Amino acid sequence: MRRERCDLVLMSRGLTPSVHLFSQSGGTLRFDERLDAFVPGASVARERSAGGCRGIFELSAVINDGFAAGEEAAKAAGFVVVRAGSRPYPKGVDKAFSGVEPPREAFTLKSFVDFENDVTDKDIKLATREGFRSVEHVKRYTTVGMATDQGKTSNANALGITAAALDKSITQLGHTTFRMPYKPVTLGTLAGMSRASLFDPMRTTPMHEWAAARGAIFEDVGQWKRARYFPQSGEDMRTAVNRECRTVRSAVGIFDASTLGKIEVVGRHAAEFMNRLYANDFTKLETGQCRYGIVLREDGFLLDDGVVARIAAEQFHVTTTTGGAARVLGMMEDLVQTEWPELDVWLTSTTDQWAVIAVQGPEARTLLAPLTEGIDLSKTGMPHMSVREGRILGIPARLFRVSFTGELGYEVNVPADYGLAVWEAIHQAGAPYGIVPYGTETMHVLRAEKGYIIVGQETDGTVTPDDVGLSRTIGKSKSDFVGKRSLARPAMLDPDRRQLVGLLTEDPSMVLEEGAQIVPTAKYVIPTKSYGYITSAYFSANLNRSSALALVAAGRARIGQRLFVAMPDSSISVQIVHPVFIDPQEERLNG
Amino acid sequence: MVDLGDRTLGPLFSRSFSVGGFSMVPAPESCRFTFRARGAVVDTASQAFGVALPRQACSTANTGVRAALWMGPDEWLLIGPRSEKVLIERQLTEVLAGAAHSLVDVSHGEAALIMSGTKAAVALAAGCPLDLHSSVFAIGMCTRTVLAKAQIVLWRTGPLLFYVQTSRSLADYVWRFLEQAGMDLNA
Repeated sequence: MRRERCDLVLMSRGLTPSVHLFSQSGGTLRFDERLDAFVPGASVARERSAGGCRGIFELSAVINDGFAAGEEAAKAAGFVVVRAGSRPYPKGVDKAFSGVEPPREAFTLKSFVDFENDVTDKDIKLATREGFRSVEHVKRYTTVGMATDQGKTSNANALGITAAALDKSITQLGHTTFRMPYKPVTLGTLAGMSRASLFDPMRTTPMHEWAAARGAIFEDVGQWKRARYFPQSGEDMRTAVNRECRTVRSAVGIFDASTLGKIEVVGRHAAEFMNRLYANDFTKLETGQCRYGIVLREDGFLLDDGVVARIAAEQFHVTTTTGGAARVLGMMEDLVQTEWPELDVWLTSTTDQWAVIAVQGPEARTLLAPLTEGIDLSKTGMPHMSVREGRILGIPARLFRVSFTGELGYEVNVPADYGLAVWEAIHQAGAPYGIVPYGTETMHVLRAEKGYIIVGQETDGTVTPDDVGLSRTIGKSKSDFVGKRSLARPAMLDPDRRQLVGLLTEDPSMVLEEGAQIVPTAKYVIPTKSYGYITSAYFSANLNRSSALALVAAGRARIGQRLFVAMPDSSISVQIVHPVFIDPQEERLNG
Repeated sequence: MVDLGDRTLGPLFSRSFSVGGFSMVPAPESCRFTFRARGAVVDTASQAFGVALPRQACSTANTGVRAALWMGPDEWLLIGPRSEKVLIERQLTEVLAGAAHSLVDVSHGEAALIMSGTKAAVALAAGCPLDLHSSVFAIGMCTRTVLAKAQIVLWRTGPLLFYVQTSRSLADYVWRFLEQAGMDLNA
């Protein structure tokens, strides 16, 4: 055996005529034993196959075949053919290859047939033993030929193996349908530019370089890079996150929330549209107010959440989760275009338009007020869940008073090209207050301390608003909204549904494992009944102990009780508690 | 108070690229609006904007200062100098008050570059499946399309001249993809 370093392995089973277009034109294929391949039979449509697509592979023969087909077509159409001349073409390879079985011991090695879908010869033989006789059924059972190349590299071998296993000839076996559209596999698909840093777009915020220069550790959120935490010299992640968490609750922190999805919903019927889509009631939301909005799927389960602000009577600034932006915009467009075309409402993605600088903590107002023009930041002038337009450091801004930390907080929205300058200026102005930049890890811990959910973490596509304690957000008097009907189904009202609760361990330093199952007894025997699972678990510097969020069957009724977290060799006793660990009266939030 | 009004920083700031047959620079700082409306409202907007919003698919109207690009049956991309942002907003909102429409500022949410040269179309073809031959994608045509894994707005402004616009956060990817395509063409 010899090892070779390589970037790419290309595999060829030889040349197979591309009979797709012929077959789609209605013609029947004929199996050519010499070529070991299907070739066009009689034409049905006004079609002529020439060259490689009918099994002629040698270059000069291909060119001559092309001339001949053209001449025949011209003659048939009543034209006189005059050859423009000819020139000698180099002699090419005239050989179709059939599959070569590598030397191997039967049943000990895998022979891949479909390299994209990882279908082996054994899978195909198993399909025939399972009783599949039709090549169409073998294809669907094994998925051979169903990858992006649509069988161009695998079908010929798959037919050969299937025919052999069934002891039939390939002519008897036939072939699968060549469905439209025909798309060649380009060399670019196999060895194109999607590699290294061009493999996938890396989306960064206007403040990315600032964070990178400060040594931020980044995490991938979809295509976005987000700063996860900002370690100071010698700090590990936990130390850094603890420091960031404490500073936000004791002083003030600054956080880059630019990746949040944003959609401008504008039009005469904007409020009506929001009311039909969101579970919340938006008719009573006044200009300058914000509301925490939830979007359900038709089946009643939570799809996305975010703050919705009414900028003007016919204009909403809608925010979505970072990962859900495209999904929500797609759903909105679908509804406007297909379900409610009578509404005058238009949707524009503004995710990249705004740099979003969250300033959170008890000093947030004192810090921002002197930098702000034309906005009254006072407690009464701009209460929690309000939005104002004005200027911050001379830049036209939308200022939100919102909080995902549970602290007094603002989100400064400025046009993105100003993002870095405004961020730096706020950071600088915050120095006397001990401001810290914080990342997504700290954001996760702070929101978990408050029992705020993250869609995709506390929800998994089977979670209703009530399951996560969001019944109050639903507009009860609304006649309809997407998902309303499903919420009334008996299973959605079952008191034993899993509900969001908090968990506390006996050992305050023990951080539970996210995803771990919750069981009724300390000594459980698998299989056992699961009461639910842990969705979030952190060490909280502000509580000076660990805490967790979990979805537990009839969880709210179990508050105060003990349950157990199943671990591979043991179990951990936990107390079920209310999921809001800090400031349940919301005095800090409304401060 | 400090005024940061001159502290703008676009995602392609100070970049330039040149290779045999193809060069790239960031487009001048612009203001951009997504404008949505139907029917007679569009004519009112055309008058106020000073450029007739094209009704024909994939076509553009351009005065050299302001441009309107057809993006859909009820959607246009309006482009002007960044210094005219407030002016354009005022010109349009004044005459359109009460009329069903949407005018959304996307000046900073989008970023654009200008490609030029004999190999510009070939470099684009590395990631764009459209036929960019000038007999098919003629001067003055625009379209929303893809460049590899990014969505772009492509506008042919000359025989060998293209305007490529994308989301701000995808601009670096689009720029570097085209750089790589340019280098591959000269390898």
